[in-house]
Amino acid sequence: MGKRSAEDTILMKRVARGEKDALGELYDLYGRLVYSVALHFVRDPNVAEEITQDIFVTIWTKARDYNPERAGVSTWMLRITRNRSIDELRRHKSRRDIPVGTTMDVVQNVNTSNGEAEDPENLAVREWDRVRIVEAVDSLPEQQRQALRLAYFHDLTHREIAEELNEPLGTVKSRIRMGLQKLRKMLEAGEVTE
Amino acid sequence: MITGRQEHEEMSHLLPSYVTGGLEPDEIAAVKRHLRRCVRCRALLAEYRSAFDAVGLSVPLKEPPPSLRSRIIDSLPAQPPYRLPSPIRFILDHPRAAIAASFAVLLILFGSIWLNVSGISGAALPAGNHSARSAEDILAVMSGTSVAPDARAIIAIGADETSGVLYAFGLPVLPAGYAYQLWLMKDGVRKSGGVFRVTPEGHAVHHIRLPVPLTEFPTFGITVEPESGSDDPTGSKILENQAPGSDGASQPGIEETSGFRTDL
Repeated sequence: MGKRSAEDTILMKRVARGEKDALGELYDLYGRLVYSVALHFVRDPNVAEEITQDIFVTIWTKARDYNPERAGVSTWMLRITRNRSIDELRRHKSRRDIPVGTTMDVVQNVNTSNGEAEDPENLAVREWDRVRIVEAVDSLPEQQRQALRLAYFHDLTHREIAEELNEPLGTVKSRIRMGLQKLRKMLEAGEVTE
Repeated sequence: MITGRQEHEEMSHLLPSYVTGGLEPDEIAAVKRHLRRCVRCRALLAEYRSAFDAVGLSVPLKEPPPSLRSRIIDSLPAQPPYRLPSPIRFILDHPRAAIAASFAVLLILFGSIWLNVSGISGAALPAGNHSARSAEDILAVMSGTSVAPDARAIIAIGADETSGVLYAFGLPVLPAGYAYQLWLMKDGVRKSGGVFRVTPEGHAVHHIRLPVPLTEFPTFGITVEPESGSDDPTGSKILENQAPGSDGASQPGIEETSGFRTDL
């Protein structure tokens, strides 16, 4: 991911210079991720497309403000996609019923993706990293994973999660803390964080 | 009374809740205060944020409609006018003045170095002797490759010709763990001129020292490498010079013998 990260930064520099081809390359690398995350939030393909388009137009106009020392390109894109999706959900006041993905879903989708535009070595490393991330999340105890997903995809506070699950607030706080600590250690060991 | 260690333990315990939006306003304020003065917690916070990002990255991937890519590209608005960093803007707006100023700075700088090396006090020397060095002190002028066409650099040499200074502008800021590495080449042999990072504005001043005169090398290049440096170039080439006698076309043999990559 390190080499990919450095090359992403140079790609962003080209986007900042107004090269539409560079934005196209960025879309080939991360368009599927942005669309999939947005779709997971809003559950409506048309709205997910609209969000994806907004994200890439935002990247186009804000590329000069991107600071690689604060976050990698994929992390930055993931975070602005989450923020944009949460804004969309707030507009429609619909923050419920998020499905749970599994490792097999991801592996199957990775295997059927086209990905022709990317260096095969980079593609293999990136997708292996991704599989490890999914496996790390899937390996969490169900209750911890559920609490973390409610916080991430529903943007619920711990108190709201406790109400949603009908559990004591302290229990929810413990689940989230322990889940995030485990994830941090697993990702640190695999060096997949960017 | 709470000690620094107790506060650190208490605050680091709150970081997962801080990242996931589970703290009350007074707790958030306390964590923010602690983060301002605790480097370890700032590093830990970044790790927890990455862990929370993993929850988002774990979604099943779905293919967007094939038409979405072209719709996005076709809908891109004009980018806002680009404001170059002020030093580059000055150079472009006033090229003659910029060149004159650069030489004046270099002459003073290397005049001072020469005087110090010679053990001669500047005050004891007539002012005119400060310009003893000439434009020949500029060993190489480097231009950005297609990867970073805004990048520019010059290499100036010291009096003993085994040391020099690289001045670079307009280089992309690299992520943590990466740095630029200077390469000096002659007859297919490469030597590393050291690694360096740039300021947030993309500027750098890098000191070079080799056991042999820098003037022996006609060709120079700069690549992206891991921050500890590489034995040979492995990353994208960012800057290169035109070797003396070159007609401005690409230099035959460099790509093949140097191992530089110009592709991404």
